[in-house]
This record gives sequence, C-alpha cells and structure tokens, in this order.
Amino acid sequence: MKDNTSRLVLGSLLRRPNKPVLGDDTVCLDRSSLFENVRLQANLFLQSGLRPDDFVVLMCDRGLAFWSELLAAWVLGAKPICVEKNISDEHAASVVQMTSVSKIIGADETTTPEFKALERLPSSFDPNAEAGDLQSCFRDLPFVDDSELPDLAGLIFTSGTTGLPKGVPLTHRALNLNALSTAQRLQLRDSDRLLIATPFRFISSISHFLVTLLSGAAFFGVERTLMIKDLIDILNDRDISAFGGSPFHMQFIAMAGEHRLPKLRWAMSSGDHLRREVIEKLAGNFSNLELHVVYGMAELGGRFCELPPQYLSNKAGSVGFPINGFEITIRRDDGTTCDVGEVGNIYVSGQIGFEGYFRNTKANQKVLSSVGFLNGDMGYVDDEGFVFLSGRSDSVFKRSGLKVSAQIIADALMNLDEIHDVFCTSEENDFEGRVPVAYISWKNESEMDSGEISRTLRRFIPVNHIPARYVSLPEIPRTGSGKVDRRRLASLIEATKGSSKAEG
Amino acid sequence: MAVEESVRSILSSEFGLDSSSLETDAAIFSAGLLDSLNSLRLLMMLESQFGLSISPLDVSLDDVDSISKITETVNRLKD
Repeated sequence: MKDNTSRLVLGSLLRRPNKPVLGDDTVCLDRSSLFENVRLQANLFLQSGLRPDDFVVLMCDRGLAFWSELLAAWVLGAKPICVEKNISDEHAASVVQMTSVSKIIGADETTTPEFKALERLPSSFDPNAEAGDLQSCFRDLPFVDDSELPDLAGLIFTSGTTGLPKGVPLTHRALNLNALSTAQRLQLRDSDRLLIATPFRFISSISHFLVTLLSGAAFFGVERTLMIKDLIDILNDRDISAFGGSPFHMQFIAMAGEHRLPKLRWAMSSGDHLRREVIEKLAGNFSNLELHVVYGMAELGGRFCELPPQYLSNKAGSVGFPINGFEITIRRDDGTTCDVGEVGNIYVSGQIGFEGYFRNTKANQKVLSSVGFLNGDMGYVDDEGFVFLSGRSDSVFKRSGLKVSAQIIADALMNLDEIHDVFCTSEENDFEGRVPVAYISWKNESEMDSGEISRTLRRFIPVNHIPARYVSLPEIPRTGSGKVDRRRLASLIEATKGSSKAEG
Repeated sequence: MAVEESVRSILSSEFGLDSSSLETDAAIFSAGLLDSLNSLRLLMMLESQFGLSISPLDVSLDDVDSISKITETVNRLKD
C-alpha cells in the first residue's frame, strides 16, 4: 500500500465537522478547523516553493502548529525532517550535509546558525480557522499525484546515545500500516480524548497522533515541561479519557488513582516495560482502567509489540507480542535461534520492516541482515510467544523511558583532567527505572565533590545523562584485556562504602 | 535567607547547577536547566533537608520553577 499518510488520516475524518480533533491545554480545534489549517498551510507552502520530494526542516517545541504543518507538508509530498528546537550545532550541520535540505519551518531568532541559512517557510496556523465544508475542503487540498509521491515521508532522528543521532527514514507505507495495525490493537473509541506529554518529534508522539485520528478520537498534546500536578490538572480540565505516557508517568497515574482522575478509562505505557508493582497499583486504584503496554521504535515506524489488557495479570513485565506486520526472532550472537526462555538478540522482520538508516552504510551493516533488523535490545520469548526485554546489548539503558548511554557519560568524565579511570553503569531506581552511576578513580589527591562533577558534566552531556550517584574508588579493576573486572569491582565497592568525597 | 541558601546548595550539589550565578527568579525547569524527571529527586531532597512531607501529586511547575518559588513553597509547607 502506497498512500499519502495525510490523505489516509484526513480522509478518515470527513464527517462531523464540529467534533474536537486536536488540542492542548489552552486550545481545541474541531475537524473543520484542522482541515482549514491544513488547506491554508499546504497552499502557503506551495506558493513558497515547497515541492514533492523536497526535504524541509520542521522545528518542534512550538505547539500544535507542528501537526498542521506536518500534514500540509505530506499533502505536497514533501519530506519533513523533525528536529528539536534546541538542536545542537553539530547535529544541525550533519542534517544539512546529509540531506542537502534548503527550507525550514518554524525557525526563529534562537535557531541554530547551521539552519539560519535555510529558506524560512511561513506558518499560517490559526486555531480559529473554519472550513465551510469538510468534503469540499478535502477536495481542495493540493495533494501531490500518487505518481509523484516519494516513498519517503520524512526523517526523524535516534536519540544519539551511541554517537551522532542517526536519521531514520519514515515511509508513508510504514506509517500507514503501522498506524492501522496499532489502532486495531489499541481499541480507542471515537469518543476518546487522548493526551500525550512527550515531544512531538518522537515516533511515539507521531504514532499516537495517527492512531488517535484514525480511530476517530481527539488528540491532545503538550510539549512544555509539566510537573505531575500540572499533568493531572490538564487530564481533568480537558476531559481526557485516554493517556499515553512512559512508565515514569504511569506510576503517578497509579498514585493519583480514580478519585483524582475520574474521567480516565484508558492508558498506554510505552518506552520500556512496565513494572508489576505499577500494574498492580493501577489495577488497585482504578476500577476499570484499560491498560496497554507497548514496545516501539522509530526504525519500525511506531509500535511493534503490545501487551493487551487481558494479559496484564499473568504476563506482567512482558511487552506483549508483535502487532500485525511484524515478526520477532531471538537469536544468539552466532545467528542461531534461541530456545524458549533463552535470552538473546532481538531481530525484527516482516511486512513493515526496517530498510536502514538514512545514508549510513556503516550503521546499516551492523543492524541489517537476511534475518531482519537487529534492534539492539536483548530479550526472550516465553512458551506462548510473549516478548520479555532484559536490557540492551550495548551500554545503553532507559531512564524514565529515555535512552541513556553509559559510554557517553564515561567518555565525558574521562575528559576531566582530575580523573584517572571511570566505569559507568546503571542501577534500579523506584521512580526513574534505571539511573546512571559513575565509579571514579582519581589522579593523585584531586578528588572533586559530586556537585562539581555534575556542574562540569552539564556542559557536555544531556541532563538525563548526569549520574544520580558518584562513587570514588582507589582504582577501577580491569582484566588483562582492559575490560572492567566486575567481581573485583564489587568487592572494592563493598570495601570502600561511604568513604569518599564524591559519594552521593 | 537560610531556606534560599539551602535550596541553592541542593541545586548545586545534587544537580550540578551553578546556582551561585542563578538569579533568584530565573526559570529552572521551563528553561530546561532541569527536566521534569529531576523534579522528584528535588522534592525528595527538600523533604529530607527541611523535614517536610511533599506529594509530587500536589506540586505544579509554578511551585518549583525558580529558586524564589522553591523557597516560597518550602516556607509555605513549613508553616
């Protein structure tokens, strides 16, 4: 199926013009308003020279205009490159070099110099715009001819935990198939109002948007920083019945319970497995909450596994089984298939599949093979086909659903003159899933306190990579090959507990 | 002033913020200096430092988005 994702989504909303479809904590657009915004925006882009197959940078962190602009760019067959507003200069330069992009949507005075040379396209977002009639507005959309529709619907980027972020091609075909398969499994109702509080450029957000609209429901999204109380207030103020968030969010949804969230009937956790304690608390504090646990990746156009609500009690900790269009196999390092219950590398294949990172032969050689896409996670499948994750095959772990690389932290620490050697790992944390911990051996007497180390690290690595704890050790024990000797490390940690300045 | 000094000390020692140069009213979370995930650790630190009981369900961005707001929140909860 090669169909314009914009046509698929808008074509599913051709009735009930006054039904809410898109909102945040302050505004709410009905279908008529969304259609008119997409029509006006697509025509404005067309007049500004945006053409089929053009890459265009689409800046996020600007609110709901993002969705109207994304749909409008797709109408024209253009290929949005979704990036965060505070993208690093280095990443921005690589985007320009990789794609030869020449146009940008949503630039302002804070835009990185690397993007300032791009031609700025105008935005016409107006939450009060109204289409006269949905059918005729839809007919007036300047859809590119199918023959001119490129396979590529755009690019998003990996988190960059193992180097510079990699470009993940999104195709109309994969987005459509994934959204339709996911909608079938998630069973949102057309009366639902779904809220997300994650950056719109994430594949999880794009998948939520597509699935929600294809289900006939209304999508609400807030990108700004929210504390838990703010989130609860928005859920209630906007009459939200469905919430999509990370395991981090879910523990607070559980804590709030039905008495503080009386309208919530559906929740979806994604980003990592959901702990049994949180599942049990959700079940205990809500009388009838439909909870879905989902596993997804940008590389696969959205979701690829889901644990349906009826299996939560006896399969807690699992991410479920593949949605239509995907198959999963677990393989040993030599490529042979693992037995039931045996932990190995997760390979994903199937109709939706992943065809490789954008112009990145080196990365593709590592992850693509005849048996599918090696997705970097480790896990096993039980005797009923349910997938359980057991970590990453590299030094990456999830902190509150977001990837963190222990290697990036270790590299940043090794740049400090005072440090002789470092070992970074992660440990369980009640609220954040896993958090980074750094074990440090110092040169001479140059030990720093934890505040000084964090202040220095903040200049080089993302906030979520700052270790929760630093532990000073006389040495980082290593084997002859240079690997950390974990057995000796454990003894050393036990012997030096609480004795260092950096401890804490 | 004692509360504000303690708040600055927590932000510096636990989160690596250069709080000595941070204006009292400068945004912390909405400016991206800390993310919402850090808020929980901050609340736990405030509980421990000032002997308070703080539920994350009752704290909004407006309560913690600057040194002055955190100080006000702590003083309010202490009363």
